[in-house]
Amino acid sequence: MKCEREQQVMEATRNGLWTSSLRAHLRDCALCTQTELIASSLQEDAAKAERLLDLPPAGMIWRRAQARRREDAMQRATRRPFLIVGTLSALYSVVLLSWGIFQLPQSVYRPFVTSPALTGDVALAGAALSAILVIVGSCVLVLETKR
Amino acid sequence: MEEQTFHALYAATAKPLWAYIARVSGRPDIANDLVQETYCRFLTSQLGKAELAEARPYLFRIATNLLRDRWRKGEDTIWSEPPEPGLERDLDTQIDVRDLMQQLKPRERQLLWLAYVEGMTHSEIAKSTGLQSMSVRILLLRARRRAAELLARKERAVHEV
Repeated sequence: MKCEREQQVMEATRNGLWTSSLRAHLRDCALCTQTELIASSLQEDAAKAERLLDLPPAGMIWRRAQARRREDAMQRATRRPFLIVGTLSALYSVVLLSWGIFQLPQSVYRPFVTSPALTGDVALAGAALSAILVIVGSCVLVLETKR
Repeated sequence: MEEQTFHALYAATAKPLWAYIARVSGRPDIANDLVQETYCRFLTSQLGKAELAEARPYLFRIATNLLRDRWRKGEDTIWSEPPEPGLERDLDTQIDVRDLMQQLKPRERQLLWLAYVEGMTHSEIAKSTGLQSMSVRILLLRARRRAAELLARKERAVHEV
């Protein structure tokens, strides 16, 4: 259900400019009567509420927004280097550990592995654990910096 | 945006924005804070010329999002509007608008307020609420029907008394 003159009724309710034809239409149209009733009730309520208002001054909001903008800019500026360093350290760790596992000569790690208390499996597990910790630590650093 | 431009925009929009937030949320006590937050977000966002030209719907959009966040967090589940001096029951029409708003759903309150108080077109309401224009038309029709029913019921009750 729609009336073509509904918009005019709403406008007239807002500015109080009722033409005689619009008034006559309002008497005959149930939909526009409904619209006028709702619109006038809500507008009256809004006008009363606005008269009683005590809003903060615009200057205060402007200064608050400027302070927030500066703070955001500062955070962005400090976050970027941390993000770069974190990412680079994560990459470096992965590359270094991969290279170490495949390239390290046996003579370097043999004394550790052949130690009486340390078996080859335990040494390997230790190295793997260290690698995991370094990678996880780098990832956490990157995520924290991003946040 | 220049400071003087902002002052003019604030003078033109702050009171309607406050009334919208207060009536749709039913919480005049939080309206001041939300109005401030709305303008702060507006000023700190990177706005293009097109958005600045349509500042009014954009401001209502920010306010609508802030209200939605409160509803999602469960901060405004109860309509707890304290009585305001000077806003007692209207003796001429015998209609308490706050009673009416209380019985409507949040989305219905938003749509009715933007259409009938702010005089926004369907496309402006769509921009302010994030809905599709077609949905605005249908939802507004339903909201109006419901509001009219409630008003008629109230009027009947007043006449019976």
